[in-house]
Amino acid sequence: MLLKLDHVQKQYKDFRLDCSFQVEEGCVTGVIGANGAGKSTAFKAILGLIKTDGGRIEILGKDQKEVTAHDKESIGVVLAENTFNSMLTAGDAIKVMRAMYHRFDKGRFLNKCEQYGIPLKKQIKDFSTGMKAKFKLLVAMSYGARLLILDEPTVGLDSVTREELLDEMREFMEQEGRAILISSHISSDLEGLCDDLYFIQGGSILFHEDTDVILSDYATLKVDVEQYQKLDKSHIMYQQRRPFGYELLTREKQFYKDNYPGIVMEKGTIDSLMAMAAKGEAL
Amino acid sequence: MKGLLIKDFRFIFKGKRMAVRLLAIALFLLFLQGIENCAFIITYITMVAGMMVLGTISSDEYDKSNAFLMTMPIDRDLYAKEKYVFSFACSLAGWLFATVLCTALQAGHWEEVLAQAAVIFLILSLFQFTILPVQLKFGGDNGRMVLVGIMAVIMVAALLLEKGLQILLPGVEPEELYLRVTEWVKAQNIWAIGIILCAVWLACLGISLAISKRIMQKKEF
Repeated sequence: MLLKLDHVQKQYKDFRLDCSFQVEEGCVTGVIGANGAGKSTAFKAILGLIKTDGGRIEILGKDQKEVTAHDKESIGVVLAENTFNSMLTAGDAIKVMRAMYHRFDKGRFLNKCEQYGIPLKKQIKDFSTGMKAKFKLLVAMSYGARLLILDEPTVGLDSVTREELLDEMREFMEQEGRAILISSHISSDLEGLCDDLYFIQGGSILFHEDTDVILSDYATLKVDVEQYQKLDKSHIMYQQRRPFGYELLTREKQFYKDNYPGIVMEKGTIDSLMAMAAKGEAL
Repeated sequence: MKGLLIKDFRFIFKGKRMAVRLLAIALFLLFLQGIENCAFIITYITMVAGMMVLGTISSDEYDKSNAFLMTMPIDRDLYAKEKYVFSFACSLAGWLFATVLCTALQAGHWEEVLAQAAVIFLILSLFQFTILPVQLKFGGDNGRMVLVGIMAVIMVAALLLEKGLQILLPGVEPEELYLRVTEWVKAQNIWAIGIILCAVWLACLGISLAISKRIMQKKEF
């Protein structure tokens, strides 16, 4: 296991984080939730950028408080808002990286910069949103990290650029012993990339599920009041009142398919899960 | 630390125009003040060079790149230490430039110029030791406000000291007091004075650095 959070807590004036999750070797684990759900706070806690009020974080098999500068060379990071000082250029960043990371692969980094059209002499502040996002990810993947921690790496990008970055992440995962923790509120990115997903809301993990299971076993049922009253609700996770009756989320799609053939059923998606978890009533 | 130093030096080299402007102002002031006023020019150039560290701290804070830096293979203590090394390196470069310039212009009084330059460097270092923790604690604009407050307190303290001395030593003018102190210093063993000053300087550096490290340890990004 490359990362484990055990009831990590952080109290702010009007927000409380209390979450547990883990990232296994060889896995891409996604954290999904609405803005303000606690994704960035959890990531900052993992990276030691904020002090926690309780709980335990284990990273690369060590307590986070014991992580050394040497250990940090095995962790690649993309933060949603920050990267190098924006007055610097990619060329400056190369010099800094060479001095900081023993395994910095300058040749590969330069090739990737050329491939993605990242200028070496332009100041980072003048980069476009897409350019900056690509640059941040290439930096994180330039020194042979085992664990990538990516906070909203695709936010604000067009679909072509997003797909390019997702391909980079897939290529990163081709080597054994690696893992990615990624947060996003763009569900399609996570559906095609993640092995498992954690849903975070109000600072807590609502539930954890394998992506394949979400896509194969989950479904949204749309029923009128009469159908609702007759329905076996033992496999319903969330329900929400709608003008036509009820919208219900189940993890047992096949059960309802077999026993209630007349019911309108939509395939489970991360978006439908998020929406129901955020607004629905848990059963 | 090498990576952080590279980052900061490359950052200040982006402001080449500013450095040229500051140098032009220094030379203009030198012309205005006359070459005999070396103390001013050494103070000005050393101070401006040393202040460049404030620009790097503000810039790290401004675009929150310090959060990203903390994810790199450094720790918070090293970040604080690097700011002292960077500040010392810049001050030293400015001081050397100004001292060589003034010594060349006043070749006849080079010993006096060097003595003045050494005292100026020590005093400005103490000033740096004060502003670095303030800047790390309060950052950009707030840090500058706090510095203005500190300067005001120092000025009030100096005025009070002057008044106090007038009461304790009635009839003694400040110039006379300065001469008396100078005579007393000259009468002492120069090595002993040097060692004491170095010890005080190191103690101040140690205290300032310890405060800065503590500030960084408590900081959240």
